[in-house]
Amino acid sequence: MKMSSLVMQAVTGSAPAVDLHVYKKRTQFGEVWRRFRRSKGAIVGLIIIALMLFCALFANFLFDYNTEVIEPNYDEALETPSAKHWFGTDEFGRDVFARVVFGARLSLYIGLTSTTSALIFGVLIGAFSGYIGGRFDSIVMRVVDVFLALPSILLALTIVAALGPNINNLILAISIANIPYFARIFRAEVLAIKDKEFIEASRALGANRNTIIFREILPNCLSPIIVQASIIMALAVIVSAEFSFLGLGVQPPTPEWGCMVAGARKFLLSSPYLTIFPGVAIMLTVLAFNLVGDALRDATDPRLKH
Amino acid sequence: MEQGYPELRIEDLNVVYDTEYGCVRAVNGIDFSIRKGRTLGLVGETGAGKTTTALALMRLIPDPPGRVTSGSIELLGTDIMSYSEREMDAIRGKVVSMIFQDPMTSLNPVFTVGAQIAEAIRIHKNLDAKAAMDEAISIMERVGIPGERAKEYPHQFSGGMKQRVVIAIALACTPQVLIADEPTTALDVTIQAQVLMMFSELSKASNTATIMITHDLGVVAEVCDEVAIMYAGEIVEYGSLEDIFDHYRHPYTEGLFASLPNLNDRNARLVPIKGLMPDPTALPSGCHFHPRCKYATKLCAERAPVKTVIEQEHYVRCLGYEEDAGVALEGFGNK
Repeated sequence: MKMSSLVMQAVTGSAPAVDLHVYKKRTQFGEVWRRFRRSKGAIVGLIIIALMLFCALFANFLFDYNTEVIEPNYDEALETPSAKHWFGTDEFGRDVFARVVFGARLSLYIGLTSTTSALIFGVLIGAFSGYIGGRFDSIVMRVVDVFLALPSILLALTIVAALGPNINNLILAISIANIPYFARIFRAEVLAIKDKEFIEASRALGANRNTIIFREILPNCLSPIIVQASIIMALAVIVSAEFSFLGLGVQPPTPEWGCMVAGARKFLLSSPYLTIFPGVAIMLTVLAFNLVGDALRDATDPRLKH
Repeated sequence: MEQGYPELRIEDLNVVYDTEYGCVRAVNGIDFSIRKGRTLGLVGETGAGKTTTALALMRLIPDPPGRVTSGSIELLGTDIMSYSEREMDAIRGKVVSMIFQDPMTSLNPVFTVGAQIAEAIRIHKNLDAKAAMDEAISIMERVGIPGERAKEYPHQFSGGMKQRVVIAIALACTPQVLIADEPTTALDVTIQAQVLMMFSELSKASNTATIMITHDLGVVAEVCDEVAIMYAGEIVEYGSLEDIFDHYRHPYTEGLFASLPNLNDRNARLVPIKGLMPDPTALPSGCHFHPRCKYATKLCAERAPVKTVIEQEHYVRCLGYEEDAGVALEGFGNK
């Protein structure tokens, strides 16, 4: 009986007015956030990232870059942590806390820009390669294989060595070294999804290639990409520290964490806090991105709902 | 008798798939036409070429390996075989739309159903997101889904509700031609009846020409006006619902009806059609049905039957009705 009354409505077109407020209460973002915050690790990670972000954004309101971070002050060299210098001072008498705070700005900048550009190019390559398929796919994937065959550190080292050690070349090197990973992952996702019936259904509705790739397939692959991006983000922070430690990335006296650890290793036994604080900063950042990435993966997967 | 302009006319459609094992002749010289507001049932066993025919009408045959070797598909009077991919994109979903068999997999799992219906509208209509969503909600109400469920995801819907969403998407741009590929096969029998009823009311109300692909003669009896019986890529018998159900002429059609349970005589044995569908890479010579036909003669293996008109639209492809062939269907019609 109920059915036939619905059909009657359908035929006569007298559908009741819809209360638009009923279904707007639960937005997609709210839903993801609700599931995300259930993970304690995620909240810890988010707090650390927020802290790092705060340091990065407001570093110049907290400390003066030229006088406190760069300029030597030999009177206060190698002081242990105190109320005045929370993390102590280095061999030039510069405040380590101020330098760690400014280091956050550099690390996040390098990590974000290199991850974003690797993600954009990797996703584009993977998407078209996987969706178009055939000979085009084979050629593109062989090129990607060549890049994957080289150890990414070696590849990045070569790029930096060829172009010269500075921040922009470091970012370029990290991005290029990570594009193949994004391309591989996204191509695999596209292959898994492009033959699903809902893609055929959407072609039957008149959706063109770009609509299908970016509006149908891409949102289905967000979770592995987010997870990969958080891992690459963490990796980029480590690699930038490594390269700066080796003298191939950011050059002293710029306050980069890896660079600071490198400078402090002469005082490892006498003043261990010089290496510990930037080292802990690197560790916390990497940990935070991994925690948040994992939690996001769980939260964005509609199949794991409730 | 008033007869509308044919919305869709197909002539001599041939589709082959080139595979490693040989050339699969999936559709062999099909023709039919369909008018506004009418429903054509395309009936046949698995592998008869029903879905391939449907995909060919949308120009969605995967190529390679599939190929439309010949034939014309006239949609609203123009042959769409010459259209470019871009022109086809503009037609698909707007002029001709398709409902897929399995509602469980034909919805995108990461979007809300409302968003998916709205997306279907926005592909063809220049509407902003909010207007499209409002229209999507009104379409949902028309197929019997409460509007507030628009913000839910496909996995929160039952099978029958999902199929309603799929139907809503297909009807979103009020297409002139609708192809429904076994729309109720994946559903419970009780839900089947509801969905079928809603479906035929809606397509009648909007005067859509519908092609209903099914292997269920019950569904055909429920919703179709005309019926085409397909076997091995050919239409072996075609006629009005009445022609096929009360005056069927082809041995294969007889076999289909004989294999249905009879409610009035529950002791009657079911009579299956012996054998299996022929290997489409090596179709039998002559009449493709002859190895399974209980009336087959020597001639049936040699000579391919042509269309024989019984009356008006009712035609059959069987040597038993070709006067010069001299094949007698002895005992035809006696169970």
